[in-house]
Amino acid sequence: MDERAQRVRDLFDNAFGLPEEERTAYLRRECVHQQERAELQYLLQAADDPALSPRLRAAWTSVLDGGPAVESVRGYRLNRSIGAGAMGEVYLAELEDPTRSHRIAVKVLTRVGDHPRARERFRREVGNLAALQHDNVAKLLWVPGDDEPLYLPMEHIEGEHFGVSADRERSSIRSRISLMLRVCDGVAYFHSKGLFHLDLKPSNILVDGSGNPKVVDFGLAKLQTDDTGSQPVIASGGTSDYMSPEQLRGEPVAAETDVYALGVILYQLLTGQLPRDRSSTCSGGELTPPSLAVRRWGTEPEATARGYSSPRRLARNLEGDLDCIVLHAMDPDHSKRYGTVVEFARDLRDHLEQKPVRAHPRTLRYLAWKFVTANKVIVVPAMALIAFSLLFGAIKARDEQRVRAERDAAEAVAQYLEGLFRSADPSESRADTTTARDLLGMGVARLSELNKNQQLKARMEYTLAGVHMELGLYQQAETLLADSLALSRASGGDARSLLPAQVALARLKNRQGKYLEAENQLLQLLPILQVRGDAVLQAGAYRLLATAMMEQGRLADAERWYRTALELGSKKSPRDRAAVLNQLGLLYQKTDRFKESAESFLLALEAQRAALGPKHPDLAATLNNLGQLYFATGRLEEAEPRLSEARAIWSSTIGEEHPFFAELLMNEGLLKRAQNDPRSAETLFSQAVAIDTKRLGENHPSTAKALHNLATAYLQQKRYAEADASIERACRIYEATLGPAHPDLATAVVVAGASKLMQERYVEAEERYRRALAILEQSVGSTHTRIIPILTSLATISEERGDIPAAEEALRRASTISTAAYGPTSPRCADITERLGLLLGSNGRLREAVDSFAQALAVWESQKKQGEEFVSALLRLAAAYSALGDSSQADVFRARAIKTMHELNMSETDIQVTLADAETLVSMFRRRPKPIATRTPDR
Amino acid sequence: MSDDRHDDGSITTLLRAVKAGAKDAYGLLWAKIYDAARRIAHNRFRREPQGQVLQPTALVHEVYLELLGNEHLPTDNRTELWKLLTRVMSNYLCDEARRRLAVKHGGNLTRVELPDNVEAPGADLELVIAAHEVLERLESDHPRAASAYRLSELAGFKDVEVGHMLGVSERTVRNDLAFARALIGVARGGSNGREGTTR
Repeated sequence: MDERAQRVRDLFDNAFGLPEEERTAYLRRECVHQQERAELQYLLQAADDPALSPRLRAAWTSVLDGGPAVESVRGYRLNRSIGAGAMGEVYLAELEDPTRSHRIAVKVLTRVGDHPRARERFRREVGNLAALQHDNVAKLLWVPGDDEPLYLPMEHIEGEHFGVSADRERSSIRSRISLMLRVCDGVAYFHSKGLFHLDLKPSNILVDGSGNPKVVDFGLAKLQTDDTGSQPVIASGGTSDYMSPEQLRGEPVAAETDVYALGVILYQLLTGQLPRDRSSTCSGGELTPPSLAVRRWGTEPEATARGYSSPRRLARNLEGDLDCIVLHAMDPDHSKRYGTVVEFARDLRDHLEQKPVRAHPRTLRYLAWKFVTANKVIVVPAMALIAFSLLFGAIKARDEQRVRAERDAAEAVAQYLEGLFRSADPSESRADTTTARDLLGMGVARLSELNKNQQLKARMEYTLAGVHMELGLYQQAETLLADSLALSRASGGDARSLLPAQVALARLKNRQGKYLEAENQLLQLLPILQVRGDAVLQAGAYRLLATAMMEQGRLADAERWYRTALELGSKKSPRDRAAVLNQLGLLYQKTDRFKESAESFLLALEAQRAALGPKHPDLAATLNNLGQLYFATGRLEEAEPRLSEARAIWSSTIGEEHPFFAELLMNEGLLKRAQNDPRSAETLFSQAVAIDTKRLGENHPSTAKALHNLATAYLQQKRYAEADASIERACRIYEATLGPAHPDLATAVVVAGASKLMQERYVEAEERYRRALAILEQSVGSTHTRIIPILTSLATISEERGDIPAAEEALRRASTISTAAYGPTSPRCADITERLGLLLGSNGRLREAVDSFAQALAVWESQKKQGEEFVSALLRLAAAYSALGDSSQADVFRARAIKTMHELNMSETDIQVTLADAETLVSMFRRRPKPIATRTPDR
Repeated sequence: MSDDRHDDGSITTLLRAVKAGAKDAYGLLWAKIYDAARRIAHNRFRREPQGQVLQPTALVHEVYLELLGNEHLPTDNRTELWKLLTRVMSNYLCDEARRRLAVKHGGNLTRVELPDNVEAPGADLELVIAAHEVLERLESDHPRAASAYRLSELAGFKDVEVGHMLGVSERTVRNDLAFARALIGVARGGSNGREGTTR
């Protein structure tokens, strides 16, 4: 090495290590020449510059910005930039072949990401475009291949922006409209092929030397989408003057969006101005019609400059048809606009041909005027006659009703009330529950009128009880039913006449969660039903019995009774049949027969839709069940629409205070939880708890379930006190209603344990986990997969408390169960194996840790898609190798991890964080610091 | 020396040959790396819609993986390979920067005078070119500093790791990095676009 160079280096090193103040002195001492000192001062200044390091980093990165530099494509050399758009720069490119001359425009898509999904989208969208050709649309010349960069080769158009030439040449309204029509033709052609432009504006329509307009950048809006959405991301920095209100709001776009833009372009073409008051347009405010807009000009020169004779005459010409056409195209409500460009163009053509325009209100005067100007025949339809006859019919019906009512007072009152209640039955109409309850109140008050007729009163009470039950007012329903039964017995009713009320009572008990009572009651009724009851009632009773059994956990028995009910009742009542199918669906789900469960629900839905229509609460019940099945089987996207539909129906029928609604809320809450939105989940669960506590009472399993879910929502937000309170309450209710050895209780106890774990109260946590383990071993057996999460949690706790052998034992046990149940290549086994590896690695058993990690890695490698777990597995293995001293192997795995992270499009920050985390693993595994080698610096 | 002695396809063999002083082995290895970088960069540029770019470190690691394939590299060759990889990467990025500048200025590389604090459009690209040139000059006088900088900046190795690889303390690594950066900074006249004195 050069003596001088070494000297500079040494001086630098020493000075760099000194604090600022001492440096100058040091340099003055050590440096021989002024020049040398200056050189070092420059160096030190640069070294101190805080901006240098980040700038360098950014510079190295920026080289590869936007993909490799595109210099030429297929023989066309990119010469100069002719503009920059939202997606990248546009260049003018010429053929490199000296014998031929051809120019094209090349748009290099620098701002569109080049990863496989984007490529696929590019191929698809651009492929669609390349096949199309129209005189008024700039042609895409070819589709770049996969081995080429992302660019768009387009025909190069030398021309002016739309409208400029019209003004310069002082074109008449007629010729302007003709120009517009050509643009419309081009756009319509592409629409007919399913391609929308979505960014139409004068600068995107170029008029060439022969006066032919061409639309550029067609169909490219879709290329700007991000990976997740299907809607175009609005290009920032572009003008929004031509964007429709729905586009600005980010709502879905379609043909009407282009219609809007064309409307604005036409407006501008005719008036030379942009429509004013954009904000009020969006909120449905007033838009200045073109005819008024030109009146603003006031002076003649403005008009004549554009080729018009005078503003007043222009305004007159624009009034009427053209005003209507433009405003119709620009209606803020997209459903009120022209649906297609074809309709828009047709109106323009009709105007040119003096025909009536659809956008214009069809008043007699307008039609007459058009008739006069166009000499055509007008037909007036005769509506009045039809309207009159309908009215006549209605009067007649009411007369008859009045006559009938006069015949029998008591009978009429009863019928009237029943009719009232039928209309109040939320399943019969969409009356909101307040109105129904008002009617109910009226009905109950009117009961006293019927005191003289006991049987009638009993019947009325029975009906009222039914309505109360449907509305979820179970207390009142119970009172009414009891009274009804008492009255019936007292007035000497036979066993058969009591049946409906008794079955109804059993139904009520089911709803109230008193399943054993319901079962006993129904079993008592069975002999009478089989002899005296009608088939529908019988089937209903069987169904209720089955439900009572199912809720008590006796699934085989329940299934038998459901099937009997199905056979018995299927022909008579589709509603009842659907109810049984619904229940069967739930049963199948409880026995993990998910396919049959879904089938049952779907059959039930079919029957219900056909027989009851789309807004029936029964339908909502099935939808709710189907939704929660999808959720339970991991099909979240399918769950959500079902639950929403159920909510819509129930909200407007049974109301939001109904116990069924509480069930729905729980399912929605579970969905939100799965989507990592614990706040929303909490709100939903709280609501459910409130309804359940109010309508079902403290000792109902549903209340417990709701509290349980609420607790988990709190936990997700780390609100431990509330979580503990909720889960303790839930556990108490479970124990009281389901017994001390029920799996649901175990699940709740686990939540309680998890809460303690998160609060780092390990002793209390372990206590709860062990309790849950005991309950499960008793109820589902010691090799059931439900035990696994408890074992892994116990392992964590043991590890925290330093009991490594216990932790290892728990993990190994979990691993055994897992492998037996899911197979050795299941990701679930990999998780446990990794946990084991971490445990071993942190306790000096590195070789074993490597084995464990390698085992887990093998599982992830065999998966179809490599995700973040794969990266973690790689990095863990790398860390173990690193700790063992095999840096080469560590490098390989680390490199694979980095590569995968980039393939997953992880952000640079995330990558760094992940790598840093892996580093901490290494030090954890190493336990003792490696001695730093000191050698003499090389020469 | 015949080609087949050091082109059995394995990197280890090539590295050994380079250590033994075989010039054509060096050239061969260089070409392999450069070609891989170019090809991978052209095929696998990826960019988040939010504006993320393919990082040089990512590219270096992909090249590393492709080169090695299933080969197990002995640990004593590891450092040599990384040093070479990062050197080629620096070269490739410099070439790429030159290409882009050419397109931007329409083939015209003359610089434009700008007032202070205004960024020239190709400033970052020119910084990369300057950095590479400085690093190449550094190879003769302070090769270790050049390697340290490249390993750190282009391969993302942490100071500790760089120290292990080059056989020096972490402190020495930091000094190396500071020195290399300072030289680059001086070559570009600090952070404003004026020409500074170069060495």
